[in-house]
Amino acid sequence: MTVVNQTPEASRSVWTRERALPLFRNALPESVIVSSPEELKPFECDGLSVYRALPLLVLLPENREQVVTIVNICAQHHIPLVPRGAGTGLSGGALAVEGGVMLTLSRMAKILHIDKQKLIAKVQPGVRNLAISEAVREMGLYYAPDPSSQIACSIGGNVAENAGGVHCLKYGLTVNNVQGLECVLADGRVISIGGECLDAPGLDLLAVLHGSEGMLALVTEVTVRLSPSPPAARTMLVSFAEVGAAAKAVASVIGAGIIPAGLEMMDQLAIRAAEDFAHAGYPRDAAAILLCEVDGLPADVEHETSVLAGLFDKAGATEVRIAKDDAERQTFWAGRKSAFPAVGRISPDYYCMDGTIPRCKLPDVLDGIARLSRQFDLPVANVFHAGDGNLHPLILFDANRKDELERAEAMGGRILALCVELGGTITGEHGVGLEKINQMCVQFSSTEIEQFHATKLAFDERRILNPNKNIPTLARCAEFGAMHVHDGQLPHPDIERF
Amino acid sequence: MPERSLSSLMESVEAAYRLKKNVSIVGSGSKLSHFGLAQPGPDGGQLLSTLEHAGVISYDPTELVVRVKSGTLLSELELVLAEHHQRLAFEPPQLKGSGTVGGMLATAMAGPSRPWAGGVRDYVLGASLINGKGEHLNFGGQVMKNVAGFDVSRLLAGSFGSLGLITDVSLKVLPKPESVRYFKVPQPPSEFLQQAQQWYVQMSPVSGLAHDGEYGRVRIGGYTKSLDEFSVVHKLAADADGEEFWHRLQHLKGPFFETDELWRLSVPLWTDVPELHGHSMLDWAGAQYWVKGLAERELIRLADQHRGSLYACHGDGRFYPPLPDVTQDLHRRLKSAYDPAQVCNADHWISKI
Repeated sequence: MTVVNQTPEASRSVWTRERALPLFRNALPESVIVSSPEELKPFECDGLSVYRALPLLVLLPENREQVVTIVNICAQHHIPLVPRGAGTGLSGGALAVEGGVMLTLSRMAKILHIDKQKLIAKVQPGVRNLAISEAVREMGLYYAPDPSSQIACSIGGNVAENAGGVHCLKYGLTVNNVQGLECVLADGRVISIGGECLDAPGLDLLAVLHGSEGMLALVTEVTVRLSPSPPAARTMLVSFAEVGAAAKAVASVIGAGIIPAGLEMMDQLAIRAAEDFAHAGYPRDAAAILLCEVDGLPADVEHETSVLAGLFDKAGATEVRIAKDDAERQTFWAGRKSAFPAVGRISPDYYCMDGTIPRCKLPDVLDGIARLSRQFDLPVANVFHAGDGNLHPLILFDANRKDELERAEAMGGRILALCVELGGTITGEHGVGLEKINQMCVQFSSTEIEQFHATKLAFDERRILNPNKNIPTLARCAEFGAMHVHDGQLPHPDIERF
Repeated sequence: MPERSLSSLMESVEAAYRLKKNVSIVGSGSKLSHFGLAQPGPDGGQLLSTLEHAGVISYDPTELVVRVKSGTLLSELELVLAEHHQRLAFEPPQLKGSGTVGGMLATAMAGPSRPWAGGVRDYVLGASLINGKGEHLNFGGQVMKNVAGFDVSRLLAGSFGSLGLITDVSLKVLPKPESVRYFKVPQPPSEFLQQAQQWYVQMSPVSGLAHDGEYGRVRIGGYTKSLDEFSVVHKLAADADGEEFWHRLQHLKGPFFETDELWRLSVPLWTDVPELHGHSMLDWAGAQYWVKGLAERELIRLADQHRGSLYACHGDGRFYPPLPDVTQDLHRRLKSAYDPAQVCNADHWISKI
């Protein structure tokens, strides 16, 4: 039995800025340390700005040695350490913890090596996702995972979150496109994992580090796999008079043996918001649209496009538009890509959820979300990666109105519980962070949560790295009162109910 | 019956934990000798077979997901998938004509499509595990994207039962290519690899690049029209026994593999190793070599020179290079986190670190 109910040592931190500062000043150049409250302000939240907290200090190391120095100081003095990439995460994973410091990897942003025969690139963790693709574009290559924040998010953060994107049904997530890592462990030791070979002896540490949300190690170098750019791509804009018909069409695409490069769905509220914002020519009267893109060799793209056109017709589409050139293709995508800011224009605030469900449950989950929307009296715009069942319902609210934020959060929790009920998960690509830590108790049993804690301790026995994120304590689950019934057993039987 | 089988497996592991008695977890046992585990060692303890814990739990072809119990034979799973024109894209080898889904995940062996399609871990969406305390745990799920909690199901790929007993696995499946064709190129490995690089760095229907010592072998798969175009442009000679060749290469069958001294060398893609000519079967576009007839010392030197790794598919399954201290330490800690009494597959080297 592992100890999980104990307050983690590091979170009992009693450090103040004044006490912590000299420890780091003695060991690091002044340029690496940010300590004034004004300069710390930009680091008080990540992409989920409803949670805010100031770290004692922000450390901006320029190389691996400085990362090791910082980790050693934190380990020696039990100072909690929150790693941060570009700060674009959407789950509060990079939120500062009380009495802790923040280590930001944004200055380590060099592309170290590109091998165009082996199709790999070695990069530092602060390199932006899109910068990798830009650096290899002339070679006819790109880096496949494309989270919507790709212009800003960093590859180190992508590893920590196992970032996905629009194209991951066909091209995989970050974990499927990274071949090697160099990391600094919580005790300051440096470990090299994977690399140029396609496999290595021993446990797949590379796999468990992906999506570990900065809880297990600090990434200081990433070897990514590059992909040949597809020579052809076609995008279709398909309209439906009913949401259910659109959802069924998604299943029939896959049933026909076609794996689209992207398959996105938007409902009417999202369509209208996006159209008013981006003027992409979206049909304002459609109940739902699908954006379907196929890419690959020209002959394959032609073949799949014609199969899909017939299939959408049969599925009851009211209109099937095929982009005639690259300009029109970009216009189709412009609407989808601007969906979030477009919704931001029609509502003072919105709360973006990230559940995933089996594709066949799309109609059920959409019904359920509509029901919850009525019950909580908050509108929801649905924008999602339909191809892989990853939903992004946007709950519209006004934080200035009494109770609305609380209602939005409560409703979000119910949507995630619904996803789990339908055989899905509480987070497809945004991570658990602080935001969904309670919902972890819904998805996992107490023994599973204990196993996660044991995994954390195997890497970080002092619980220095990003403490109190991602994996809830059993005490927290008991407090949250989630009823995870697992194999017919009572939830958290070892915890007194109250 | 199945459910009883699961609870009896849990009871066996729990008893092993309580009594500190080792258990040897196996599926069909088809890969034991390949990994030097043919003879149960002194630490083996009670044999725990997953074979009776078998069957497809759920499969909806339009979800591209199948969930199966670990004792399910790969041959049976592949038949079920083939009915819907789908498959496991990483082409898991079945040695000695057998193999279970649990063994596939535990050994993480992938076939000739590896450089293009990815390995076993790239298709794992979820898995259930009886850990070393006899607790039954579910990780991941049956959906394409899932970042809730640590990715334990992928960690199980290549864990050789050292973290516990895998009870079921959820896998991403993919449509079979519409058609497949084979070509034969009369070139030595070095020239063949050089020529073949263009089919990797540009999008092409190539799904296999191997060399049998005499001929370079090329496999392409996809829609017929693209295959026609590739054939016309590159004017390669058709390979009449291509299907048989690639089948044998995937499952390590045929005369080359009938040896008691096989080695496996993993190196970066496109690595030409002249010392191996005449002694090896090249696969994975030069990233995987099956070798025989060379001294261990020479193979170790080659693994060093090419920054790769090596294991013996015979004897005690020794490997090279040894893991660095820090990596060994993490292995020990993870082993203890999942199997605190150190009872699961104690004979495997991961358990012995």
